[in-house]
Amino acid sequence: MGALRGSLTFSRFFVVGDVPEDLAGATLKRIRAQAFQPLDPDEDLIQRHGWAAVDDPFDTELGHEKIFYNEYVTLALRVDRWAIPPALLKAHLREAEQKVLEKKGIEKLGRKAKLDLKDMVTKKLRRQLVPVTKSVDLVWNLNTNVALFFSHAQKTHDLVQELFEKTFRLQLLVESPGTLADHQGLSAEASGTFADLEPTSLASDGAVAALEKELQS
Amino acid sequence: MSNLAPARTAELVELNRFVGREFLLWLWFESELYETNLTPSTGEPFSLWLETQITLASEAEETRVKAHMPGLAPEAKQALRQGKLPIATKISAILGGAEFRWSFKADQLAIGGLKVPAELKAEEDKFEALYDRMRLTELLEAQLEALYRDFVALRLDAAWERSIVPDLRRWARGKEIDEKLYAKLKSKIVGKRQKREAS
Repeated sequence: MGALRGSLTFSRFFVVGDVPEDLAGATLKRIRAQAFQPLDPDEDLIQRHGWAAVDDPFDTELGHEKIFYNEYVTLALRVDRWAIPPALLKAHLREAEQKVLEKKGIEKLGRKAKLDLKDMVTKKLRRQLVPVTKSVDLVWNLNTNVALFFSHAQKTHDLVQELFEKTFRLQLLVESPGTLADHQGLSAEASGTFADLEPTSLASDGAVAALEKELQS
Repeated sequence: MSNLAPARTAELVELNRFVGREFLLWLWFESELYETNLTPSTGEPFSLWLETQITLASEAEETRVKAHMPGLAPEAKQALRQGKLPIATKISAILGGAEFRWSFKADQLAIGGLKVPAELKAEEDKFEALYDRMRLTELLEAQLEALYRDFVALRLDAAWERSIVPDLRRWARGKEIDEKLYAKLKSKIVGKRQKREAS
């Protein structure tokens, strides 16, 4: 479920910093530079992320018409991750270990040899599998400088904040009771009062408890 | 907001998250007091009510109430009297003649599963459909922001502890609230904020 279909689950972010007047001109090159690059099975990386087109995580050829639509900037954060089922890895590792032991005529592998073997088997399995792909839409309204990111997950928030900052040189500040109050322009005095607030409780305090007792009697 | 230092940013995000629970409490209170008809000072009058479930929590305990109108359930009010505050609920609203439904997490002010009355389908025109959905989502967000703005004005005023919390306590105990007095007080505090903003 994202920006285009189904129900909408999102976190709001305030875009912080000076947005260039010609945003497309200033940033299209950097958006393309941060477009998603596929994972390579022979790399040590387990996960990679970058921008893709909204509604099609496999479209990473990012042209102006796919990103800028009237007052909106639309992108998707694509995250690919190798996810080898542990049982599969274990079975292949056991088989490979057995072969090495037989070939070398030894009874046990050393720690380093085991790690090397695990690395080799992992890369071999990666070549036979495809990474798990996840894509989360981001829609940024340039009139309000509020961006909707269609996930509540903190880990995904961290990724998009880092990528957004790298791409646009602007910060994404997640909405919370504190940031929304700040966004609405509290005075310095009101900000201080907000920071000093103590939680409200509707539980019976002494006076209310006494009143309740009196009413019950 | 200007450029914020990372430490200040993190601090601001985490600052007084309980205020989100109090905001939801206040929405619930106003929705009952005004029979769902809310009037944000800078938005449009609209209808809003809690629906199907509400979760209340204190540090140690959680109470989940499932009912057609969970806010009216005695268990929900009892949880308030035990010192719990609402942390999550489902909300419905009628805005501009259209119905919106969503789930709301108070600590993050986060919206989930929002159903908007969008008419265009992505299969017909991707960007027009997006535009339609964003327009409706932003319409609702503007209303909620306007309500939050009013709530914060009340919350930061000395009258919160002096008059509003006692009203909330009476309401949680099923006692009468002087609606006119509350409305007058609210109008005075919100008006003060508007004057300050205008000057």
